[in-house]
Amino acid sequence: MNHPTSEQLISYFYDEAGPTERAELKTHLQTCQQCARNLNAWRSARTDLNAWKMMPKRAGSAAPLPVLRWALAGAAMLLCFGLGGFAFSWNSRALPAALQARLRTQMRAEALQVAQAETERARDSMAAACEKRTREFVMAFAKESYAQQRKEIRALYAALDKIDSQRAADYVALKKELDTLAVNADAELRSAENGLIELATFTQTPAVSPQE
Amino acid sequence: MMGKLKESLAALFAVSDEQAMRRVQMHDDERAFAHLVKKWQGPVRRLCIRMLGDEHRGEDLAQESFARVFAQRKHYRPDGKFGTWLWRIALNLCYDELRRRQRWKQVSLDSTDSETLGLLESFAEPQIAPDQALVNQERAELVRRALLSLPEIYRAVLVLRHYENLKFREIAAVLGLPEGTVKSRMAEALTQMSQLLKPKVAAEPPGPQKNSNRMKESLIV
Repeated sequence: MNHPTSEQLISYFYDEAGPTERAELKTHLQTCQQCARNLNAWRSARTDLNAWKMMPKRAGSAAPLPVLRWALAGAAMLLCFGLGGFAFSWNSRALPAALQARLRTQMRAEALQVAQAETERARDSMAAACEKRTREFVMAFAKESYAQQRKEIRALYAALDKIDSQRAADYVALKKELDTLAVNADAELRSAENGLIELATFTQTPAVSPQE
Repeated sequence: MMGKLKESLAALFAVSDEQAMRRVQMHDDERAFAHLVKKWQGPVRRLCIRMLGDEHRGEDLAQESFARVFAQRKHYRPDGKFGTWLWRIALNLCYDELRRRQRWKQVSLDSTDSETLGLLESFAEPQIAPDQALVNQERAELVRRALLSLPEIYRAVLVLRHYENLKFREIAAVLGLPEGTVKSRMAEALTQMSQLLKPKVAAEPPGPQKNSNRMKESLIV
């Protein structure tokens, strides 16, 4: 067998090689000093690595605290923001104090974010409703104004028509009066002419003196 | 007998991580979340501390991981394993932190003595004699420093496989890499660690008289 790859060797070393591969490697390691040396070096490193033991976290720094206050604070905050849809059931178990503080901050930030989003949504919908109402109002106003204007124009035209008719009637009456006046004047003139003629005729007759 | 029966019954009715996470996702169920935190806070804390080599920051990041899980609960995909998702979140936070440190040149290898002491304090085992405890602490410190000097890609694989006992297949799922790549990284990580640790940990004679500064110097490569 050729030298195994480092991947094969590490699988063997950590007992993750298949049975056949394992048997082959075992046979190879009995005869190959180089691979055996590598493996021994790894074994030694593995033993050394165990020197860094990790004790469990000291009790003092991880004392669990009740989460009730946190839950109440969060719930009160959520109630303040009126976030009905935000489920909040942190009420029974304990978490490490440091994590509680982080999560509390995080929950607060999340609640604020939700509240902000909710406020923005409400503001947007209110603005949209206002705009709609304004548009409706403006449209109604414009429609009404237009109708009113048309009505006024119609009334104006009617008044103008009436004035025109009146003027025409006045003109006819005036013309009639003028005609009457002309006829009368003509008659008067003729009468005057006849009188003058009679007067002239009367003047041409010789007058007789009473002494003659 | 009764104890076994009780355990079997408990196992039978136990809620899986995926079910618990689903409850958190759907109903913000605090009990389910507390169950997940209780079960996973140890492993996640260990991962973060070993990735960063800094107990306090590691603990912070472990908390941050759960906060991130909660924040991203709506994005959790129920078809995946919860553990894989959680490891990935924690690892990404560790990578971010390491990158941030690199930017600010705050390499944990050069952490102050007080920080190191704070770290080592947690490794002290009360049932062991003080001398032996000190030796153990020093050896642990050597391993911590050696691990920190590994490139992140090797460190992550090594921590998950060796300390957290994940299978290569599971690590591949966490890291989104082919299984072969994970295996070759693990082989390389172990080779580098054997080179870094062989002369140091083995040669370290037991006894409190050794000071850790000398060991620190011997490890800086």
